Amino acid sequence: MLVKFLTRDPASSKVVEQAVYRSIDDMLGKFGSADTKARMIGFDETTGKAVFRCKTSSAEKLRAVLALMTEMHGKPAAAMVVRSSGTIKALRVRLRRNSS
Amino acid sequence: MRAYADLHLSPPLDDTANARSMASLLTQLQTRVVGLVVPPERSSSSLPIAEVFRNAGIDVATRLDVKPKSREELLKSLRRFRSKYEIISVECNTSHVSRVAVRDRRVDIIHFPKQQSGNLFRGNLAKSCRAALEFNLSELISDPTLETRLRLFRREIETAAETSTTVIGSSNASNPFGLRSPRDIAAVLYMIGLPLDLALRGVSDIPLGIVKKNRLRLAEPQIDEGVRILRRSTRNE
Repeated sequence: MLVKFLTRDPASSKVVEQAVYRSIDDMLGKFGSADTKARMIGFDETTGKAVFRCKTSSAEKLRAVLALMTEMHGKPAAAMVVRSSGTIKALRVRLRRNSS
Repeated sequence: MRAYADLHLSPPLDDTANARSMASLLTQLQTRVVGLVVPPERSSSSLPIAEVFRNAGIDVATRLDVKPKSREELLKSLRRFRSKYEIISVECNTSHVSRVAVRDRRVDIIHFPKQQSGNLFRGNLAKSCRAALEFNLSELISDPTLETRLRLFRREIETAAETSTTVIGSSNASNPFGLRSPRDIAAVLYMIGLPLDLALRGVSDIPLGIVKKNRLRLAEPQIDEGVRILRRSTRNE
């Protein structure tokens, strides 16, 4: 899942990752969090875009959790899924196709 | 590919910089149609922010949010403004207003504000509902008591599912921080209890259908609902 993070000040990869994991814990609980298997596998600080992977069956849960995020380390923030795909490879292909 | 719509945006009408950043985000989120809340006093003038959205390739539909205090006030507003707006939404603050709003075919969208207890979407109200029931994500993300809100949303969704009422999801964003992808809004609706296919239709086919139907109505006001002109005779017969 390619996720765009909107923040007032640039956020580091660590801050984004922690904020998302905390949000997943809050919304889904520890069991739900473990079941989702969400993991951040890349973050571009210049564009504020991150790639997340999760179980296919938990994609809707992760989308909902991200949509309900409103802050990051006490500062206003928003997260929105720009693209999603079944595999990371296909996501990269789609991204390349859209950027060209 | 599915076309998405967000029929509830309420940015400041004179802030083009804000509109520009919202338009840029909406393009990335593949939102094709937006509903822009325009108060009656600005309905006749051209809006610079509408142009900003159009220049970004987003179709703009004008929307009026009616917040009547009585049945009479609602009917008066519908008579005055139905022919001027592409979308009419009614905030159901009282049960008298709700009863008329759900039945009147001039109303496209109804919304039950969650701040007021007692006036809920349920029972006979839901059974006779012709309009689409709207869920604004802003009500969820702007409130610290998320659990309570989720419970209220879930109850409304269950009622809507029982009575086959159409449900639509919107962001009600006034700035880029309030914006969400329509697909993400559908995911929230799904998590609240709406089946996934209905949730997806609630951010794509249904809102797009509302805009299409009303544009047709505005273009040909004399024609009855369900009838449309395919071609006109070239000669007077």
